[in-house]
Amino acid sequence: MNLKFVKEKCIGCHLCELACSTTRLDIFNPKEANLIITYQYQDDDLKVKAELCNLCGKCIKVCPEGAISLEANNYLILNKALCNGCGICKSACPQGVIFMKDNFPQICNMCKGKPQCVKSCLHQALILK
Amino acid sequence: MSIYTGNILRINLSYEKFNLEKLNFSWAENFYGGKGLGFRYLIEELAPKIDPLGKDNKLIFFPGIFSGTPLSSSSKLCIITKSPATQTILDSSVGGFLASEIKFAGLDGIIVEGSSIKPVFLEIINAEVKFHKAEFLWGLSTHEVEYKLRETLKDDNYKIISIGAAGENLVPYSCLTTELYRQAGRGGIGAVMGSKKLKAIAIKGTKGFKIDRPKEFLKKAQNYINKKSLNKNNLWAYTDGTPIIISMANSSGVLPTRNFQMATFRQSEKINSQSINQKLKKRKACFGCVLACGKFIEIDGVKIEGPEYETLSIAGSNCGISDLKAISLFNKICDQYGLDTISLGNTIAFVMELTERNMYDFGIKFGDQENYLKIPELVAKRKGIGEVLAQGVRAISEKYGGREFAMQIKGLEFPGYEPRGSWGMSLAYATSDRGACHLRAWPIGEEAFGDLDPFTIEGKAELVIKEQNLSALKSSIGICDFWSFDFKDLAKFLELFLEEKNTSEELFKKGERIWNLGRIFNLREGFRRKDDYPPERIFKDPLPNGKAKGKFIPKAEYDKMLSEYYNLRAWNEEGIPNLEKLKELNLETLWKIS
Repeated sequence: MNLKFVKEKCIGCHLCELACSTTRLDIFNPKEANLIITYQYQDDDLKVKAELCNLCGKCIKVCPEGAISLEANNYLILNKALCNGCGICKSACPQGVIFMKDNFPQICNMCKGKPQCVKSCLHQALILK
Repeated sequence: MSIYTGNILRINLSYEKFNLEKLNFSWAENFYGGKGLGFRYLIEELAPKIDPLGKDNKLIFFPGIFSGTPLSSSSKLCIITKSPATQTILDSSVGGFLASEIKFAGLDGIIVEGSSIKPVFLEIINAEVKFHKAEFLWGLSTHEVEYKLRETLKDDNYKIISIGAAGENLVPYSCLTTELYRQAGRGGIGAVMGSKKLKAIAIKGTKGFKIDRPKEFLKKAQNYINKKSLNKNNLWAYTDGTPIIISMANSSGVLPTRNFQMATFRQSEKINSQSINQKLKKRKACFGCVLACGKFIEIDGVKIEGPEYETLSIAGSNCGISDLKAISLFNKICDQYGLDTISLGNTIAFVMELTERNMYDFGIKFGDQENYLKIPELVAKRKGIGEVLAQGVRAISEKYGGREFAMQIKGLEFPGYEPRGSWGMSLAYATSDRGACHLRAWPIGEEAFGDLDPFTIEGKAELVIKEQNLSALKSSIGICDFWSFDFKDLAKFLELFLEEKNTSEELFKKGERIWNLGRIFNLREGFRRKDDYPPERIFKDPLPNGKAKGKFIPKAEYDKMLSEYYNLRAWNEEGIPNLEKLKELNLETLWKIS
C-alpha cells in the first residue's frame, strides 16, 4: 500500500499537511509535514501538485548508520538510537518530504499504516493504493 | 482550553518600528477574536472623528480564533478600521491563507498604525518585521504584486495581501486582495492602506500553532467535518458556490436589475450557476476548508476565480449586462486594480440611469458592455469620468441629482438583494454597522427564499436583531458564513472545540455586546436615526415585474419597523442604547449618555 494523489480531486485545503504535523509533532504547522501540496496560481493558471513519500527507498540506501528500514507492513521507520542526525536522507529524498527537527529526520511512517492525511481528505484526493 | 497565542504584533509605519505585545485576555474573553476583538481594540485606540485616510487611522488584522486549526471553514481574516467610504466602523473579512498564516507565525493578530512617507511593503516572518521600499511595486496590479513578491523574496510560501492602483489613489471603495481573487471588499480598506503608502504585506509563519492536546482536537475536527460538511446545509457551496443565488433571486423577484428599477432579469439564465459550472476548471478552497467555494473558470480565454453572486447581480443584471465573459473580465480587472465590484457595479448602474434620464450624460447606458469594461481602469486611475465615478454613488448623487435612486446607505452601495421583495432586508441594510450590507443579517433567507411573508414588517425587527447578533459573534469566532449555525449549534460547537459552556441566551448576549460596541463607535461619529434609512426608491417606486410586482415599502411602515428595532434593542428613538442595556453589556464606560 502506498500513498497516491488524485490531482483532479484536490481542492487545495491543506488539511492533509495539518493532520500530518499534528499526528507526528503535536503542532498545527503545514510546513512541518511529510507531504507538500502545491495549489497556487502561477502564470494565470492553477498549479497543482503533491510531493509524497513513495517508498522509493533512497533514504534507506544512503543512511550511513542503517537507521532507516522498511517495515513489512510497508512503511518506513527510523531507529533513533542508530541515527546520527547527519541529514543525508533529507538531501537524498527525491520528493523533498524529509525534514530535520531537533537533530533528527522526520520521515513519513504512514502513521504506521493508518495515514491521517488520507483520513483528513474528505474529497479522496489522497488515497492508499 | 486556550486557543490564543497571547501575542499581538504592533507595527508602526511612521517610525518603522514594531513590537510584540500581550493580547488583552479580558477583552478576548468577551469578544473572542476577529470582528469583536478588533472592534474592542479600535474603539479604545481611535479618537472619535479622526480622518480615516490620515495617519491616526489603524488597520487591525485579526484572524478567527480557530484559524490555523484543522477545523473547516475557520480561515477568515477580519480587517478592522474606520471606513473612508462611510466614516463608520468597518470590518471586512477575507478568506484564503492569511488568517492561518498569522496563527502559524505565533500571533493572534497584527495592528498596523502610523503612516509611511514613501511606498513600503512589509515582510513578516513570525514576529520579525522588515520594512522594504516599494517604489518598484507602486502602480502594479494586485496580481503582479503577488507574483513579483514571491520572486523578490524567492519563496512561494509567503502569503500576500496587497492593494492595486485604486487603493493607491484612495478610491473610497478600493479593496485588499489576496490569492489573486479573494477580497476584503467593502468600505474602502484599500484606500486606508494606500493612505499609509502600504502597498503589500507578505507574511510567513514557520513556528506553527500550538494548543493543548492537538491530536484530540484533530480527531474531533475530523469527526465533525465528516458529519457536518457537504450535507444539505452547505453542499451548495461546493457544487455551485454563491452563483446559485441568481436563479433563486430571479424567480423570487429580488434580483437587482438596471439600478434597482426592476427585480427580475430576462437574461438571468446566462449568468446563473449552471452557465458558470459549464466553464469550471477547478475548485479552490481557503486554508483548511472542505467546501472549496472558489470556482476557477475559463471563458473564451478569460481565466478567473469567480464571479460571485454579488458581482453577477450588481455588476451584471443591475448594469443590464448579461454576457458572462464581460462580467468575468470586469471582475478580473476590478480584482487587479483592487476595486469592490459591488460598489463599482452600483456606481456604474447609477450613472447609467442618470444618463438615460437625461440628468447628466456620462456616456454610458444600461447594457453598454464596451464602455462598462473601460470604467474600472478609469476609476482606479481617476482618469476622465473615472474621477467622478471614483467618489461613489452618494457623492455623485449630491452633485448630479438622483438621491432618491442613489442605492446606498451611509455611503455604502447596496448589495444584490432587492429590499422591496423582502422587507426585512431594508432594515438589515439600514441598521448594518458599515452601511448597506447583506452579511450582518440576511432575513431574505427566511423571507423571499423561505417561508416568511416577505411583504410585511411583522416580526422582521426581531429576526434582524437575532441574525445581527449571531453574525457578529460568528465573525468574531471566525466561522465562514457558508457554515450555517444557529445559537444552539454554536453553543455545542464552542463546548466541543473550546471546552467553553454557554447557553444560547448567553451567546445571544455576547453577539449583542459586539453589535452595541459597533453602534457606540458610530454614535461617537455622530450617526443617528436619520442615517438608518434606505433611499426613497424603496418607499415610493413599485416594482414593475416579478414576484414582488407592485411592491414598495410604505415609509410609515418602515418607520414603525425601525422604532420596533430600536425598542427591542433597548435603544431610544435616536438609536442610542439606554444606560441599563449598556450596564448589562458592560459597555457603560464607552459611551457617555448626554
